[in-house]
Amino acid sequence: MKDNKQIETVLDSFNNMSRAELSPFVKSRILHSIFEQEKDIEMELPLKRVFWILSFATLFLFVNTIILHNKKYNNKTESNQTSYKDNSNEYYFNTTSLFYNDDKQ
Amino acid sequence: MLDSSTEFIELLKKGDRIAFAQLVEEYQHIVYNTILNICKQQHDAEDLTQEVFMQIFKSVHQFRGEAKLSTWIYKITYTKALEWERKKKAKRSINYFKNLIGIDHKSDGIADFNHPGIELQNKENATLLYTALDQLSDNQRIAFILIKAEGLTYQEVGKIMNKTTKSIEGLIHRANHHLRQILEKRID
Repeated sequence: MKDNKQIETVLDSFNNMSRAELSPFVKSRILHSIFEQEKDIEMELPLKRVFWILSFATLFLFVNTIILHNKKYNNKTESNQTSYKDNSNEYYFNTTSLFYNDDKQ
Repeated sequence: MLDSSTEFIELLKKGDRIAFAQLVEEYQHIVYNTILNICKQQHDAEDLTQEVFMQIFKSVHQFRGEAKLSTWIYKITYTKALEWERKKKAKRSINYFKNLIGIDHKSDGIADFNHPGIELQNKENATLLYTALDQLSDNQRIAFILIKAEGLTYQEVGKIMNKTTKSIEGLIHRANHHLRQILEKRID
């Protein structure tokens, strides 16, 4: 019985609890942090735009460079192939000429 | 209370500094005391109060005015406090392992917590109650704190916790039952 009364007293110990006060220093710190955050948000927007513009520009340049590089590479390999053919022709021609010369000799 | 003023909320949404200063002045008590009752550490409660107001500032444009401003603030407050508590629990388990392998760590000081607003003659009992509250589920504990310490109604707590009044009644009933069981063992 005594225990029950004690338990009830413990359960009611939050009754008439007054509210704890924040110190003026903490209050001003809160306001300061809110307004600092406001500044950050104001700065964030143009910075975000700059970031996206720069990243798109970089991506565009990167893709362009790859495309241009591929084109150049394709042209180079094509020209290499023709020059090889030419060389072979030359070689063929030369040998015939050699043959011809030999025959002559 | 500034709750009913739609003009005030509009000012907050526009980022009006005076309105925010007024908001902090008006709601600092409910934010700070709710956090203090949940996390039981004065220094952390101050930091968390700051975080709550920063969160309010960030997301005030999402406030649609369907509930009271205080309901919305209470919701942010207890969510932040529970988040903090989960992080603290994770830290505590790391500290436990550190202790096992012999690395010292500082105690978090929860055991000696005394709410500054509790009457002197109730302090000892309140410390017992805080220790017992730690053993309840999050929902039971939050509902108990909001009703007993903050003095809110079942309906208000229901709105804050997104539950029906009936389920809040159930939570409080179960919380009281568990607390009695815990306290019986402690007092014996």
